[in-house]
Amino acid sequence: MAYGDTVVLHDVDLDVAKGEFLSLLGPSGCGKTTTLNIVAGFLTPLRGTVSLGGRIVTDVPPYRRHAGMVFQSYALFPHMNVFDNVAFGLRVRGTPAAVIAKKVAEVLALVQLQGFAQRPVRALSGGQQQRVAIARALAIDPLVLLMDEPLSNLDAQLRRQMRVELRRLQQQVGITTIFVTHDQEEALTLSDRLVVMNAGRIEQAGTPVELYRRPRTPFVAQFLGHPNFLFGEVVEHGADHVTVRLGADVVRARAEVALERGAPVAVVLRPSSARLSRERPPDAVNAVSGRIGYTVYLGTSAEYEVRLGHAAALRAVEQISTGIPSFRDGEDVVVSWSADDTLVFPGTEASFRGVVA
Amino acid sequence: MRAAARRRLTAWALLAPALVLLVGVFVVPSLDLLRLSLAWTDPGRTIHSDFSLANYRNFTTSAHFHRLLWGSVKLTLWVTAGCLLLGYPAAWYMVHARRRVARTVLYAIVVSPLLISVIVRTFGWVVLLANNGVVNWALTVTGAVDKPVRMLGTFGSVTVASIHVLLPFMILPIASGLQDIDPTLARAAQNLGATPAQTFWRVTLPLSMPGVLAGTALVIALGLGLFITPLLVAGPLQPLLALGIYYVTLNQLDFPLGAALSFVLLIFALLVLAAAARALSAVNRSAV
Repeated sequence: MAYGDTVVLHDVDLDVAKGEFLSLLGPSGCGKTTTLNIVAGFLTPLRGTVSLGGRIVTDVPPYRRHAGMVFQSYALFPHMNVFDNVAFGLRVRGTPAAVIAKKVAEVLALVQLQGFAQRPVRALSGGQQQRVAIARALAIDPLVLLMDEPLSNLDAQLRRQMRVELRRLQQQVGITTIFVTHDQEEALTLSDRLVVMNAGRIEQAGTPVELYRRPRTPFVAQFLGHPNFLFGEVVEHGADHVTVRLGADVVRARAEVALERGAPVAVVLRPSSARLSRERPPDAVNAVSGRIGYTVYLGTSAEYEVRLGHAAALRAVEQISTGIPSFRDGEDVVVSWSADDTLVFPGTEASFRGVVA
Repeated sequence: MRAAARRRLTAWALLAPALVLLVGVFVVPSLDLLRLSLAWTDPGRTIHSDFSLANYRNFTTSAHFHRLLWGSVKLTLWVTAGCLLLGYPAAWYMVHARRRVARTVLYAIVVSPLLISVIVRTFGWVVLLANNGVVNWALTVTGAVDKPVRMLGTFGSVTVASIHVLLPFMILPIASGLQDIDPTLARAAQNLGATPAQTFWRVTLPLSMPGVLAGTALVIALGLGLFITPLLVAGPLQPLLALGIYYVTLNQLDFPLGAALSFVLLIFALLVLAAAARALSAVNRSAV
């Protein structure tokens, strides 16, 4: 897929199983919405095929694809009330009025908007418009439900609520769903399978747990959870672990690929896997000393920036049930973690520029 | 309270220049015209300014003036229909042309006639439609007709020339109305199974109605008052109220009757505008 001379999508090969909830996750411009528009038929790929329900539809116009789309702006017809919006897809197919009335009532009940049929859509709240958009797409019994950042126009609280409801709805209807988002939390909570995209390519696909636990590329690691990237060089390589020198400290990390002695690497450590203490824990495999730079207080947790001896810094999250952070800015601390909670990617610090913010 | 008062004062201050102009050059002359229309002229062409409804009685009882009014209404209906049929597709393409250059060029083509005097544009039609004009030349050369067809002076030629003169006033409001429609709506319609034709009739056209109504109201109001174009293309005897006003005023020098006929036409145009405004607000209410 290309716009002018700019290729925006390369070799994207995706299979979505019937009834599956698949999310396309990536930063803006990664090609996720383009992919969705290709499936919907609004864009034609330069090469390759699109098939829906076992039928090749690459050259089928959007109005014969039977794909239901929920747009980011909802795109409700402003000159129609809720009923007419939801009935639109059935009316253009020439469905008998009695069947339409029954189907509209059914999908409005599904999205919990009974009694809203005669309301003008402009009189609805954002969340209600969202439900109408979903009901309208479901009314045509589509082969696949396509959602383009449907929650991004809602406020934070409503977004969390709609997230839960969307999952319930999708499981209840059992409809195959492709969901586009740039919000990792949304993708992790909703998906059966998650596809992380970057610069028009698929970086990695898998279940949310697989991708979170075992990101295959630095980009995926960075996009899911913003971990620390600590740069150093390999001291020794064992069967399933590697010893890495980080400035003055030597740490052990999990390694699945063979690495040469002296090779530059990044050790990836999630802030939630780093433990803070005042003394070095006796059982700690990895422990480095540092000083608290600043604290981001979040109520149930606190995120500290810890300055390490060798000009590097890392972030560590402490869960605090009391609501009071255990450490103060400027305090000397020891950061420790288990080798199992780390990953290693080969490359110099410069080679990670652009991936690691 | 003081803030509200200040806001009201600001509003008046901003409106004042336009209001002064409107009152000075429209309301006052109109009232003067109304006063004049209530005077009467004796057979010796002396104007008597005592109150009289003679001119209005003349209009309501004269078959001739009814014919002129009907002529104006008929021309306006044809012109409005023609402008709608030609203007809507043009406006649609102007908004939806893929290439930016195409859109800009179309816009320039639509707007540029407004920079040229109506008289010059109408003369173009005279050159085209005259017995020895371009169209007749082409028809005779190709053998389509044996001798030139009379086109100037016909109702048809007035209609065509008037459509040409008023077309931009239809295209521009429709284009601006189409521009305001969220393009995602057409995609949504197609996604739900609507063919391009269904998408147009069920989504695009209803949503463009405010622009269509605005353009229609403009063309009707301007069409009722068309004067120069019919005069040049068809001469002063074409049955149109505007030409009738010209005739009684400048040939018969019956200023009061001319004033009364002007008032009839003005009231007619205002009624059309009021009806269009009502329809517009009804459409807007259902759309917004």
